[in-house]
Amino acid sequence: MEPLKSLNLAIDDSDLIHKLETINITTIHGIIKCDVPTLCNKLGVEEEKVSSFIEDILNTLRCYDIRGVDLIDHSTDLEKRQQPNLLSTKSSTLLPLSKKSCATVFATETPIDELLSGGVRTGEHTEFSGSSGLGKTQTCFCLVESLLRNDPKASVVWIDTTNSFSASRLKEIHESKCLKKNLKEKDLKCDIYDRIKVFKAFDVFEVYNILDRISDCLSSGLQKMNSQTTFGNGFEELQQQDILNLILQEPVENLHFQQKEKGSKNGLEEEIIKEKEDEKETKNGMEFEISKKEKEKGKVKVKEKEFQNDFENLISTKLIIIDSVSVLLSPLWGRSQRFHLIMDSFARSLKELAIKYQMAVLTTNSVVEERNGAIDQKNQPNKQSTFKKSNIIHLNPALGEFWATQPSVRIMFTTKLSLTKKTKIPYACLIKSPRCGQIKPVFFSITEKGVEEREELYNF
Amino acid sequence: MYRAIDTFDLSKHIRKILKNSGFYQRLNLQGYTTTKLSEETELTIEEATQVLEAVCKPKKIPFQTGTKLLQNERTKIKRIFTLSSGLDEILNGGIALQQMTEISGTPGIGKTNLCIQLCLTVQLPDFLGGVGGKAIYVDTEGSFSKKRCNEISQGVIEKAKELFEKCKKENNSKHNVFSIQNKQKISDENNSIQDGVLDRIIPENTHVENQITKKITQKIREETEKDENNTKEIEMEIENKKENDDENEKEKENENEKKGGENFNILDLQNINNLDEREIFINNLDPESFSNNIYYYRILNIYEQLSLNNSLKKILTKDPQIKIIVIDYVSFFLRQSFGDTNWNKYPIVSTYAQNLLKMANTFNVAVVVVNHLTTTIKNDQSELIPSLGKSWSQYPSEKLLLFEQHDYFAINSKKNRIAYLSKSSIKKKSSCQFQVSLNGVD
Repeated sequence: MEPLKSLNLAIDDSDLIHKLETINITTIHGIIKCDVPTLCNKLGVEEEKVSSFIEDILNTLRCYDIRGVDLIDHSTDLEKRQQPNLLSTKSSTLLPLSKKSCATVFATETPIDELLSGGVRTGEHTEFSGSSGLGKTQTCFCLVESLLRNDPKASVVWIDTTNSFSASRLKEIHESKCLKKNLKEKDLKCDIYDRIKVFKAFDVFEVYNILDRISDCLSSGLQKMNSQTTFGNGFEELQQQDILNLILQEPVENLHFQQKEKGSKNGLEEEIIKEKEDEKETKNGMEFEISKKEKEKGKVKVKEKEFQNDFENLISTKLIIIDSVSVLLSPLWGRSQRFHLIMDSFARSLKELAIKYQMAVLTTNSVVEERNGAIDQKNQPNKQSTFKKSNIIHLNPALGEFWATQPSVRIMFTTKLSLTKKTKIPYACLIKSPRCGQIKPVFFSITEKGVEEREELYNF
Repeated sequence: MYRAIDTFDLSKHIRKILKNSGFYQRLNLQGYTTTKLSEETELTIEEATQVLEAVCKPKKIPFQTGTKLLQNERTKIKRIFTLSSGLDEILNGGIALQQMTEISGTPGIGKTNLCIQLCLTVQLPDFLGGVGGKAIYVDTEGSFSKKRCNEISQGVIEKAKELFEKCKKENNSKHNVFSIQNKQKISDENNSIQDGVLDRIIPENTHVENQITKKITQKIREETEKDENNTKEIEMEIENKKENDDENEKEKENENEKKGGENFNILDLQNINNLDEREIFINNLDPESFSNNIYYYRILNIYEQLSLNNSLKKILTKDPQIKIIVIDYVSFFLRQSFGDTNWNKYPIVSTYAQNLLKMANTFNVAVVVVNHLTTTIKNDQSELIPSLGKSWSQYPSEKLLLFEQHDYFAINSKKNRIAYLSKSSIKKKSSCQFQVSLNGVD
């Protein structure tokens, strides 16, 4: 029994919904069940309008069936890997969800690509887990660098929760990679740094807001491309009260509402009359501020441009990196019920972004130690051997089994003692993947050039 | 995007009311005004505005592009040097602002010495390549001693003089004097950027409001006396106590104003551009002026530690000159199970760390954290690792491990002190030797 309001229909039917509310039809179930001609008589609306409205609802709710041929993953083709498939956003909205899921692959250009069978894919949630200082963040740097270098339009959102993002390290990797590939100085582009957005967040709720904003920008961007309407169309969900608040509180900051405000000014005034008399004074203040704003139009235009630039940068987001996700979620650990709910919906919103807007989502996770010897102790009669067994420590990704179901690809970073037992060698292995990836672990080393294949493989 | 009410940052009470009156997700609240919402539910108008602000109001979230960050990393001095050549080298020029650095090591290796030295080098002015800020020293173990602080500050002063001489020689032709480190940075960059750097490095007019004399020994006495008296109702009283302390501070400030610059404060002399004045300044440095700029907190139990962490925001907003927070043994209380309470340790440790990171980021402060070492048995081999487990280990972005190693080539089997950088997002893992002498860490 979904309410009618919850539908995000392409055509604006708010008048019709309002009328339906007056005769107590508020749910989808209600409108589909009732007889169209009688309903039209009651409301005094044309029959075509209502029937097209119902058709719209049915179209949005319909499940499309797709044959397996359409789903074949073309991403392994070499051609596509060299020329990243720039999805035209226009076509992607018209097709049903899974038809546009021809995933593009972003190669990390590190040995870890072998485990990922090519690289990180769009529409998927990938996770790197491992204890600190093993190269998770470094691999992320490599991925970002290669993505930005190969795709001149894509941009990346990096949500940093531990203050560990370093732009100079990214620069170091970029320069050494360019040297390696014999690229000229012209190709050393400065704009790759422009296309990475670093958000700093220390709270799950902050990250939620960031994701909300990205999805707002993207959805409004899609609408803009489709209908060529004015900027700010994506904020239709906003309540009028909110616009009022914004105008009253932050006159200059939220500029994208200015255009909106002119259209809905009449509506606003009506609302204000309905409100209590006390607010009439504030209304006068509002009008004053509006006139003030018009004077400052010159300043406003500059700021608007800035905002629009930011906005357009977020539209082309192809990759979201959250480093690290366990830092965000672990403070909620004690409150178990809410913790599970938040963790679930957090992962779901990540996946929704990934599938809906064709972007890759990458999270990093820490590890927890687990002693798996408890069961063995009972079964083993020999006490000495049980002592040994109970001390075997397994490293598992943090956040437990519940989180384990969320990412579709998981990679674990661990270390291994070398044969001389003097040094520790980092390696990565695959835990979970929907494709048949490489099962053998991959050894790597971290150098100035990023994450590289280990050369002295046979020495230990 | 679909979002349940539970995923918003609202209190349990409000969420319960909303769910009882049929609001389960964000879209249900669409079209509501504050008055309408408070009429339909049991929420007061204030609560309703809070709900609508959290749920429906679009937020403006600041972000930085890579170019901006790159510029910041180049131009702003983002590191506090240790004045020990080896450590500075492996730490890429010192301890980073806005980040959490962990120092862990065996007992007696020089962790506390290094921390005290950091509290002192923070105060060195801009023209020596320092940050010119104050320090907070949180002591859980009671290992801070005034005497040692004086000794180290004398060492720091000597080194500062040497540094100044070096700078003078290298920059005879130029009007401005920069530290060696800055010069290296500049030489790496293009000429166009250099001009920008020059503008930035000339210190802004930092007006030090008042000289805050807080004699450390006196402070210790005050705190311990108070703590002995009130051990039971701690959490409530700590805040009161802090207020009292603040009042004391104010009184002291007033006293100092009356004295009128009899005392000599380092931070007053930040904005000198004249060479001669700088020389006078360097020659006038004395240990007492150094210790005036260290806020000292003696922590006696877990409640105090957590409440201090919560009030850090207050302290930092009050004195924006603070540039480093040193916590000597974070693990001292946190690693124990909280015997008399039913608290779950894991969320407490992680919220503690998260708050520290938040403070470091918002107030541009370096956080240095000292950690114990514990042994683990892994694959039948014992190994020393920092305590508080893997869940803690993800928070510090740089980790320094101090340990001793036998020097096999020396005749009398001398032990070498070695520092090892085990985690960093910028520098490669590397190690160096260091020494602890009378005048601090070399």
